[in-house]
Amino acid sequence: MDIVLTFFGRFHPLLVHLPIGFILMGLLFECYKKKIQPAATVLKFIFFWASVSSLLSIVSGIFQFLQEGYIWGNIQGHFIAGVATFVLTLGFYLFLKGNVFALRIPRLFYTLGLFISLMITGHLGGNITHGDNHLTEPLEALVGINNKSEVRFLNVDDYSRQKVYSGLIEPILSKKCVRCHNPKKAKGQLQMHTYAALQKGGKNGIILDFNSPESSEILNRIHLPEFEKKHMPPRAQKQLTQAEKDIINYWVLKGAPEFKTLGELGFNEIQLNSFMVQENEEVYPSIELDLPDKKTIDSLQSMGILITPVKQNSNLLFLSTINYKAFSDNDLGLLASLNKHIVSIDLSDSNVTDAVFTSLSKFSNLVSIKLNRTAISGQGIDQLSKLDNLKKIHLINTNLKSEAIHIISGFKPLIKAFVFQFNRDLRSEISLSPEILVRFDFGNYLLEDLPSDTVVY
Amino acid sequence: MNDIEKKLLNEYVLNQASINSRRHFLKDCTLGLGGIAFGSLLKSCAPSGSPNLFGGERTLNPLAPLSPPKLPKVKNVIYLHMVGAPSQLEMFDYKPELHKLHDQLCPESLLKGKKFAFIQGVPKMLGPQAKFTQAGASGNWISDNLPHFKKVIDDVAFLKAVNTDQFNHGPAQLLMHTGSARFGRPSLGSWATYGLGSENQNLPGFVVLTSGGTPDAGKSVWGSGFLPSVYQGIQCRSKGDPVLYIKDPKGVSRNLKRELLSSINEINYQEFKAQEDPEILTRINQYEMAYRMQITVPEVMDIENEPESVQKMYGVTPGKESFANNCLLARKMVSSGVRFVQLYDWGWDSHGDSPANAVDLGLRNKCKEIDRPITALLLDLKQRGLLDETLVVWGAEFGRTPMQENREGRDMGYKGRDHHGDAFTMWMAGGGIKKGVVHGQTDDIGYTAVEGKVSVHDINATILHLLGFDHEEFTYDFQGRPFRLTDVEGNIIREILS
Amino acid sequence: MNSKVPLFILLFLTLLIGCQREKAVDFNTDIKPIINKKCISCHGGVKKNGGFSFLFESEALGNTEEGSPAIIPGNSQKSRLIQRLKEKDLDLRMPFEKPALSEEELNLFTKWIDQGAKWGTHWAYITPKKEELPKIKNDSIQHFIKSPVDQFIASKMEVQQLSPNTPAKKNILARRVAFDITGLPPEERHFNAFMEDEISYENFIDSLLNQKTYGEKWASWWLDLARYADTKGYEADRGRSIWQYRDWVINALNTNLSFDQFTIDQLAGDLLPNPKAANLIATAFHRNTMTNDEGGTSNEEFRTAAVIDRVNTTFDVWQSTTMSCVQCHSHPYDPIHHDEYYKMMAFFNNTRDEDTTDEEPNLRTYNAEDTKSITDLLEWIALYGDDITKKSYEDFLNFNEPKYHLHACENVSKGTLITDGKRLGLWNKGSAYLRNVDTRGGTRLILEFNYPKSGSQITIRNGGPSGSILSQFKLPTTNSKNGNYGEIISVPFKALNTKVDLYIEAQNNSLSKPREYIGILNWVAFLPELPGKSKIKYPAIEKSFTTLINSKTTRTPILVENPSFMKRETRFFERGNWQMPLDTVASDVPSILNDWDMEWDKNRLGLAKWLVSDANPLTSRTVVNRIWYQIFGRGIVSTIEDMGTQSEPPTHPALLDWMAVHFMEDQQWDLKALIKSIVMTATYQQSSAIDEYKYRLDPNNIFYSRGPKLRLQAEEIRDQALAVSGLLSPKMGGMGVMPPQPDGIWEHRYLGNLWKESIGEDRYRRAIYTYLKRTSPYPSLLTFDAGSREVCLVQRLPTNTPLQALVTLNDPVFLEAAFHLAKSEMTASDIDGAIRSIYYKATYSEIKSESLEVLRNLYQAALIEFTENPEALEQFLDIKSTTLHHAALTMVANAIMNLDEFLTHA
Repeated sequence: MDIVLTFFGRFHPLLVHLPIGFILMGLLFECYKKKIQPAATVLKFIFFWASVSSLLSIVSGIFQFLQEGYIWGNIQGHFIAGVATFVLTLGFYLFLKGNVFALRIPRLFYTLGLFISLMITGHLGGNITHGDNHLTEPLEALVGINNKSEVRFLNVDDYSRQKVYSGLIEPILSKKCVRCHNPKKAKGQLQMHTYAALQKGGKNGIILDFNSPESSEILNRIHLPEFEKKHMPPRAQKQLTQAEKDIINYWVLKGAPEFKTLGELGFNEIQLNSFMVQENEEVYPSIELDLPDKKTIDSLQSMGILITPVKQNSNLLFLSTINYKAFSDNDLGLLASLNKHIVSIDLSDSNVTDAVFTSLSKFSNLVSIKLNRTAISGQGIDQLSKLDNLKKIHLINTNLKSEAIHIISGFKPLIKAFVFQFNRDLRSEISLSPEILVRFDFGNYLLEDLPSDTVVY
Repeated sequence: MNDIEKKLLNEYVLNQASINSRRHFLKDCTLGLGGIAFGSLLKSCAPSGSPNLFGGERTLNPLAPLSPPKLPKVKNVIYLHMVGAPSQLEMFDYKPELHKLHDQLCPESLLKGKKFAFIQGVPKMLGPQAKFTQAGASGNWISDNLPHFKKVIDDVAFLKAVNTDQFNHGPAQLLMHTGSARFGRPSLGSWATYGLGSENQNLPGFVVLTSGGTPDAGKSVWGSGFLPSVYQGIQCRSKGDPVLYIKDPKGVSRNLKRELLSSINEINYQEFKAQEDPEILTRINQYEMAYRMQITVPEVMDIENEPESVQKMYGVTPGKESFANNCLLARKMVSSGVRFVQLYDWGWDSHGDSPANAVDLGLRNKCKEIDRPITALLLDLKQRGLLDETLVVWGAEFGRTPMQENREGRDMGYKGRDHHGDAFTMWMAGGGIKKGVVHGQTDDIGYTAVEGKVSVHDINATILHLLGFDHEEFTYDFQGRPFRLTDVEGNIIREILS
Repeated sequence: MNSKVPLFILLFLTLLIGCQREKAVDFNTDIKPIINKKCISCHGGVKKNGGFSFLFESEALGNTEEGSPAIIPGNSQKSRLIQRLKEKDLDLRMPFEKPALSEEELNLFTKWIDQGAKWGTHWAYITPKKEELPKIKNDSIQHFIKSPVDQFIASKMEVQQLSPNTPAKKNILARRVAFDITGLPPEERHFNAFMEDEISYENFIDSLLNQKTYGEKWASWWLDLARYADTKGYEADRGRSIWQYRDWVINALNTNLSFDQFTIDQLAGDLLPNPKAANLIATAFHRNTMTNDEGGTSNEEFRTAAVIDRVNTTFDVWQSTTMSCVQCHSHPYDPIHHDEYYKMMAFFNNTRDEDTTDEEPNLRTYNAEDTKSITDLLEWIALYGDDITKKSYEDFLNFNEPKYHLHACENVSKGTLITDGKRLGLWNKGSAYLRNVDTRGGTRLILEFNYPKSGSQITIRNGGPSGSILSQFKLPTTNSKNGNYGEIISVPFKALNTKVDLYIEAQNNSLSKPREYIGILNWVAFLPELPGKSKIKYPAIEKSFTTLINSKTTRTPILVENPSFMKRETRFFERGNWQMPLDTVASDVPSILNDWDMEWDKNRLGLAKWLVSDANPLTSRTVVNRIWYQIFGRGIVSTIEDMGTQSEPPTHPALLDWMAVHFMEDQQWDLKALIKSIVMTATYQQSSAIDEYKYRLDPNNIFYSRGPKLRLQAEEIRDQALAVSGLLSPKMGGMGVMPPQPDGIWEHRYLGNLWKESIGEDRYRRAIYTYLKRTSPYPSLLTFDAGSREVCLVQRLPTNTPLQALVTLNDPVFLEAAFHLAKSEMTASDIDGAIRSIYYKATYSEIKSESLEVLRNLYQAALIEFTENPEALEQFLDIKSTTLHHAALTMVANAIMNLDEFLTHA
């Protein structure tokens, strides 16, 4: 018997569409009843079947609810709207048949009422099956509400102007508290998803005490040691980090204002450090590339040249001649087919000369070049100015000329150039402004002897 | 063929072709898959998820370089471990409060329920035996036992509240380096070379350099545990052969050795053509690598081929075994592409039972031994453009107590401190590390951690993160379950990451 | 409604019912793997979230925290499990915070529940049964078969469309089977007799099985499991004399002791009715656990660690079960309860060893003369005294038990427990209590002590400082100490018949410093009166006893059960932490395995019988699987260390069971018979040549369509080099030897470098006799994947590395072997002949012409090299006056000894 009921219950989603069709058809006829003569009889026929089908869908809905273990709270609205639709369809049918009670209620009540109740029932039904933001979700992306709160949300230049609640406290609470304290699931009858809800407090009273902030319940709850039962967030959930605890503590002690800005409340950078959006400068350019040419990779590898992606499943490549020191200028041609893919190249200790700069300039996405201990002098290095991603260049222990330093100082994207020459002091040969000099590392660090070096205790 | 076999064989083929089940792959691959000879089926026998182009290489050589799942911040690691546990109260953790309590009896509250390695009864408090000053732009505290270190203090991020639950040397060292106080687990260096291989194909991937003695837990702190033994640490020794049997026998010249190797590989290759066993190809490759290592290892281990100024900067003494020599060697190894260099310096166990073990005498000499070399190492790495792709970690297996040790109820001859794992200091420098930051704080006498407590697993999780791994995903199947270096704990210490 | 509609509905319904014919869902192969992968980590032995666990049937079908069962057999709709798997709300959907189950997995679960959720026990926990042999259709495979084992292998091959390889060539087969049985290449005379068909393949095998080298080869495998080493491990890692156990294993294997007796001797030799010395030495199997002498470590903690290691190792070795997980929680995926771990521990927790530095109890082996005086003493007691006294004296002389270690002393005043809790050190007027001691009416007190100061007097009182004096004596400082063991004296003692607290006082006013030790006291023991006091020879007998207890002996740590008055009860540790003991447990075996036979007594002897009883489903399977692995390089169950639910399913389940039953019943646990039955199969005798087609279909030789080709074990690499060059010494047994090793390997801070290179014959002993120090094992063995034996090593993962190449190319041991191999061919008339014969001696096969040519070129290159720079010849291998010819030939020998063919057996 059980199975039959479940089986019949399963027809609910199918049967529900019948009343929708009949009622809408009926309402359509209603609108055109003047133009189409036989409207009245057809309407009666339609609404007869509309009420039969809506009765059937209610019954099947009940069975589905009983058998499939839905929670009453979720389906309550949908059920009531469904019954209302049935009553209205039956009423309108009786109205059309001329039943005396039904006539008492104006026709418009039936038609308009039917339309509204149908829409509500349909919408709620949709929510149950496909989740409650089913309808609004595509719109949300449009409007920019992004409920997945970004871990880091302040940026360093305008954080002080941010409003404290919306800019700082709300993102923290939504990440760590709202999960169990929201309209749908309010543990301890406490909701924390809005400032007002915070003020209201929960079952055992307020959590923000404005006249004596330090005794606010929210503070004791977050500062209790973890094994205490009352400690919040509960042990099994994700814990507040130390920085988050300090922020909440600081905010509550300042009277837990809503609209004051971070600057007014005196928040400093150190406190907000772990909420700052680092300008996570992507080390390598994020561009889509197709698979590098397999044959070239095989042949280079068989020569002993090391080629690996910068990380798994990435097409950006790192190349090194560490295991093939005999690499020379004319081998550079072999890399031609990979000129977009190679982002970091290490030709240290190889036999390349200044001719290397011409071919390197063709590697458009190059970020780091290493030419330590090679015979280059910097002749033709200006061609590298074409590379708009070049961030680091290593020219240690080479025959680098001081003019090359001036050329390199002109590279816009460059962050650091390592030009330490252990047998000569390149630094003394050039004069550059301090802020340019900071982009070079001339090395030659020395450790003078200290008296304590020789003392034996 | 019944269902099990069909399932088994097709699961095996799938494993080889795509799914990243390392156990099948590595154990069987080192056993027998030559790759080249048998076309694409074996070529794509790759460790990473999708059949990528670079996996094939690993079948010939288990140390072939691989890329990590996430973008790495560093390529190499230099780990400096002070065996015996230096006293953080005389080096980095400045505790003025402790001065005031000097020579007073230790309050009962500190001893309740606490078990010490040696302290019994009620010990006396021991004030810091060194003066402290603030240094660098960051203004972090440093003791005058480490004068040179002041120059590089701004490049370093301190962890002032590290804790461990072991208080004996052997188990504590095992926990720090293998993630478990029991024997049998792979060390951090083995995990790194297992995951990333090594760039320089003519040098070992994981090198160990010791000075003053080997750590208490013996070779297991750099063992490969249940991973294949090719990933264990290779101990390079500055006395005798740097790597065992690296030198040619007396009277055999280089080109005679070349002749010998060519004949061996020639005959092996004929054998391979007759028998088509891929393992023979792997052996041919290993013999070629051995020949190359015979040149590259002694070269990289030779301090004297470094210029005079660099030798003076580190304060090296060629031909002898010293921490300074090992620091210079560490830089040379990292710049030649060795993945993981592990240094152990023995002699920090200052219990106060002899002048050499006194916190006001022996400890000062030990600090002097490491102060110049470590400062030189950081400066040298920086000037060679290596510091921002190398991670330097300084640490020990635990710290020492603020109380003076009174072993077996009677005072020791000299001032010493007992083992204490609740509040010691470590620091990190290099790629991905925020400069000059101090994370974690101990109470005013340096007895317990009050804020920013960091566990051994957190440190290993952070190191793996910088190498480009998610420490919860980086596993190896053994005894039916996936094992991790950080076992079931470990959170990345984000506060010190740049 | 016209007539077509009902017709249409009818058709639809028949279609629906039609596809319902479901295949029965099997729990073991379909459901358990999904559970293990996706559910068990939160709903199993470790965590039981929501009060629901899949580990045991009762828990899976029982009530969860929601008060009702999650699985309702027969009704998947109503089962909360299915609902939670299909739940949409992410907070409720299972698996929690992980991707949902796939469609196919969901259907499997639903069908399984609808078919009544029948539970299944894992195949490995069901006692093996012999199935009849499978039929073979295609006759070309049919006549390949030589034994029942081949029948199973052939039937699988047939299904795979694989055909067996041709049999291997005779010389290759001979070398392969010689290594698999003896770990050495075949002896000249046997090999030639076999090649000329004077003896059959079977006689050749029998000749190998009867050699003593068989025991040495298979002992290496067993010592890996027993975690045998010559040092104690941990930080100090001091030496330990336990080599007698290694010799016992070799001898037991050579005399083909049946595996069940082999097991019983090692687990419970001391509990056998009047055990002989050999039975006692066998129990050293579990005394291979590590002892921690590091200052500051607590003896009780590391005694417990040793007992825990014994439980884990017993299950690793005999049951292929990862019992070590269950110390802290129920087994994550196999059905073993947490408390069953401690019931197992109760078997091992009642032995006398207490992690003391001297590793007591040790079995003492006396020299001939002392043995004679012992027998006289015992005869005297038998004559004048009773059996109990005889037994007490005999036990005491054999292993100094029972005794009380003084590290258990409490309330020590004016004195301390030296090096943090190991031994009792008292100053002048110092005292200490030894609680509840049962002297059983003994009138003789025996004390072991070190570094006595002259004039030190010890007084032992009953109960406390004011108690009656039970014994008072001076510590003699006269005679010398025998090695680092203490000196033992015997003094009179007042007889007591109840348990009492001993109050020990020390006195020596002549000491200069207040905190100077009068002496260091190790342990005390009590013996009954020596009978025959009135007889004239009594003083002589007494004298012989007092000398015997100090005589120099060879010692071997053994297991000795606690006497009843020292019985230790075992407590359940909460989350495995020895410092949090809960209620006591009695010894018992896991319920999932075979039941306990009531007439076995509940001690280690009963446990051993339980392990080797026919009803135990795992022991015989484990032994068969591991011997198969040693011979074929791959187990029938490929996860050698684990046969639990998470292990790989056996590739040939019927074969495994058939061999397991055959080994137990027909072969009566006879190891040599098992090994012989495997090497006699046609499967084993196939050639190991590989072709691309077969490789593509079966790269790992899962279906054994070709013979095994394996790299030699670490020990075999060394032994073969010495054997072919004639350097190998056949000497067996004795202390560990120390062949040449680079200096500085053994730098120990305070113990210095103890590696004294052996001279003479001991330099060329088999690798199994090399002294093994846990913190720095012998380098060349370590490089070839041997373990350091801190923990039970079930499987050595073979690797192929450049460091191995460096060992066989440059290690002096291998160069010396090459030098002597070349020397044996000095007299050869022509170069080709010499090369050919060296090649044959090394690889037992004729050299191919191309290889000969390559080696001749090498020979010539070496000649030119040495003629051009004579000083190179001078210092060649530091061996004076080597001729040009000999040096060049050595290079050829060195090349041959690095060939793949030499380092592996095809």
